[in-house]
Amino acid sequence: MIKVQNLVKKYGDQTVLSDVTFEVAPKEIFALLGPSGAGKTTIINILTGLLAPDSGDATVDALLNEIGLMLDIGGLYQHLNCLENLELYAGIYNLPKNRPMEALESVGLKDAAKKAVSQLSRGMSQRLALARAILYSPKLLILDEPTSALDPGTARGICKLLQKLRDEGATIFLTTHNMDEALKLCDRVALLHKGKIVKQDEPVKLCEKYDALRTVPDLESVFLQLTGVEL
Amino acid sequence: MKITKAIFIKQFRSLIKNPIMIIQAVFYLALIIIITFLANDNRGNEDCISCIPAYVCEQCLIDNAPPDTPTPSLAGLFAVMFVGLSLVGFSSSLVYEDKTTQNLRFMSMAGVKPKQYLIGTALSLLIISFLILILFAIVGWYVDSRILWFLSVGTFGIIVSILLGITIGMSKYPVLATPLSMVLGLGPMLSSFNENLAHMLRFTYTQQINIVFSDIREGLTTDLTNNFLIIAANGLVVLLLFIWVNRKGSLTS
Repeated sequence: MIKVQNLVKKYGDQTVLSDVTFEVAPKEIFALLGPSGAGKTTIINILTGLLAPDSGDATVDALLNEIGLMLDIGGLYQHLNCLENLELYAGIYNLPKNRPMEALESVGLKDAAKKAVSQLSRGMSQRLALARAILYSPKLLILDEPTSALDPGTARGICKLLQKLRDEGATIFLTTHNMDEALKLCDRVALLHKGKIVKQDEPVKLCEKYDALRTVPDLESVFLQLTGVEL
Repeated sequence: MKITKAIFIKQFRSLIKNPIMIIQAVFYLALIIIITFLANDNRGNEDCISCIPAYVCEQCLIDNAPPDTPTPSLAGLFAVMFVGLSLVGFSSSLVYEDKTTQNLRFMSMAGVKPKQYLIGTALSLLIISFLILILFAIVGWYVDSRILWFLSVGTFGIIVSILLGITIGMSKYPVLATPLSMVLGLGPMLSSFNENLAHMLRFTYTQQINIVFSDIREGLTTDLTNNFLIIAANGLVVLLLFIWVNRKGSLTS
């Protein structure tokens, strides 16, 4: 579904991405893990056509209107309520009238449907952004830190939703610096550090390989061993 | 068509739910009513010292108007202020906000073409502004055929202002919206009392529209050919500017 080969991106003298290569298979949940500034958002911008790489190749086997995108809480209209924000895209995609409410329900915002976005907490805004991304049942979901501002209970609910979407046929590419979440949610992960993929594999296999299983798999210690960086 | 409709509905809702432009218009309309009421109390009073401040006294407007221009109309002045000051600023901020909050990016990914976005946005602004213009016409007592002239010229001014505001919002210099809208909106009002200013601003469309509004009120007593030509020329310049900025792909960059 996504194929990235030898991607390089520089901003002036600073190399943001250095020879990044990974693949995301259809119907899998793939996470790019790394601290802030590792290059995760740059990769998303390249995949969605906002940026062009300096060299290398990034192909996405989906049209732009088949991609559901969630970028933090960007793209929400503050003065409109949750339902009205989704109704715009429901109109653009010519979806059934009840679809916006269904999407709100799936992210736990049914009761906040008539609340203005300016009145929402950060976590609720994030869920609304996710609702917009899944509104039209996209083939590919690209999510930039989908659970970053959420409490553990809500984050678990979102993870269950993403797994359900994967089971229904969606491919999910997400970025996160939450190692626990990546461990529980993802089929495969790639560890990104200073613009380079350090390792990629199934989360549990990575933990086994770097002796980070013990009683509970610990992806964070794998990252620490490979990069020397604590999150 | 459905995409343009979806954009139109969203922008219309935004204008109603963030009613800064509407509140400004209501404020102007209220001012016209209050000032006209107060000025009427001073009718026949030749001495402007004893009346309310000169800039709101109708007699002083007449006394201080530049030569060879129709008597300014309060409703016309405030209508022009709405068209120049409020509409340019608000149109610009609407587009600029969509651009900077990544809304345009999401819409672009959803398959919304720039043309569809711009038409939906412009239509919503046009309809609300036209309804407001009707209120200005009523409050300004533009009756019989004069209301048609008022609405026609005013609508052209609205279209130019929307186009100008959208162009500025798309451009790399959205900060120009504030000074430009102040010149276009406040210039005609200030020109009513200052011949030099009137001379400097004579080629702006709002200044010319203000003169036309004043003459309409008096029953179209003068030859307005040059005025209309200047207004049309302004429209053409703004259109060319819009095409140039649009061609650079500023909306989606």
